[in-house]
Amino acid sequence: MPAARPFRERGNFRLHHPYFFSIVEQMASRPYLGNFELMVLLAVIRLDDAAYGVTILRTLEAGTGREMAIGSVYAALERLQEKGLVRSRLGEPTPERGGRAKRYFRVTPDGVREARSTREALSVLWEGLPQLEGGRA
Amino acid sequence: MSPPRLATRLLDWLEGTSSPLVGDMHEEWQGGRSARWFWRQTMSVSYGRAARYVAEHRQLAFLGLAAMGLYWVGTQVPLPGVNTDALAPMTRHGAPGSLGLYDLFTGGNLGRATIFALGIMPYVTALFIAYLATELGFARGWGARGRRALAWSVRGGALVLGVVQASAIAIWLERQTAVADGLPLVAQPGWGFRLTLVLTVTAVTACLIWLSDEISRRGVGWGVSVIFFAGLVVGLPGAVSAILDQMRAGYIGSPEIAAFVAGLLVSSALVVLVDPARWWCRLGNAGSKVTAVGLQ
Repeated sequence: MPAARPFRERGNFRLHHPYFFSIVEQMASRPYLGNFELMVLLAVIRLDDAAYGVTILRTLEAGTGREMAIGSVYAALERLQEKGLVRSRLGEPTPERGGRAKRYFRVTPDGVREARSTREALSVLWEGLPQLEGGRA
Repeated sequence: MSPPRLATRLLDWLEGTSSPLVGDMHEEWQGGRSARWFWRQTMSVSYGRAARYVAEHRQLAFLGLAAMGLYWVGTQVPLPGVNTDALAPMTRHGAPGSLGLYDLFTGGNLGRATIFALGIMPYVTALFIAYLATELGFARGWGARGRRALAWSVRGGALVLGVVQASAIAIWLERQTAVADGLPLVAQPGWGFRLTLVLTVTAVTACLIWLSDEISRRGVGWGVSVIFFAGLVVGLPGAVSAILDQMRAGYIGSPEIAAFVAGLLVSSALVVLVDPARWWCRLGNAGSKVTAVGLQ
């Protein structure tokens, strides 16, 4: 009896839905950084030891001149942590925070490398674009 | 001054009482942010949490919708050999002792004599019997193999129940032939009709058992409850219109509807109260051990 050919070769390949979901998941956790993730990563690098929710939020608001949602900042931080670009630790609870602890974030060597390579890629793409010169829209 | 209490309670419920995110919001509030800002942030956190929940439970949502679609298709297919036009007046017009109320609880499936006349109910019954048996000490100490055997016997038991109930439906339908407004309910009564009906209804039940086990196996919830809920959702418009029809015809009045709604609310409230309830008691002769006695 000949060995069964792989299902794909029989010409009736269909994507089984668990694979479809895993592909969607992989697409969501893409290796490159999103715009907001890059901003949050840069804020964490800038703040060094003092990076936690409030200081990151203030740095981003000062940099962009816009109000930011703290939930979005935490969502971006969680994604960065899943990618291994930042790590976190809990501080001590304080009364002005309603007895809740601060969660401090710190960039990892991978995070520094990722920020550097993103800057290099953006610099190359940024160069020689007359539309973006001189502050005109 | 403390931040808006309702917003804080919502945040505690969403994120937990020790969440650093909520701590950050408290700190910003102490630093002079407005109540409007606090509420905007709270809404943003709620939206993010809801979006994450949907993303995490995508598979459950997909299977739930598939189950609802399947259920809807099933409710459109009539039983082979049954004249549904003749059955409808018996279940809708409701003479004394009519089947109108029973039809209401099957979401109209009995009135339309669909292949979902039994649905997942035989499996639910078999599971309840098995649950009661294990509560009474049956199968205590059985290993993984024993539990697997028990699960298979429950499925087999459900099919046996399905055969018995489907046979009852077949015989009942045959006997009603002479009384349904003079119209024959079953065109050709006999063993051919009975066998076809029993096989069809039991096969549908077997498919639903497989589907519910697949849902459970993939870890997206308890399959039986997902299918049962899908059936309820699909049957809801039919059930509501059946109630309205009966109200219009004068068989059900406002007091009955009020009692029905009150009964629903009270039973739902009792379930919500009892389900998470725990009765903590310290046992006198058990040293410093504190034992939890569950009510559910």
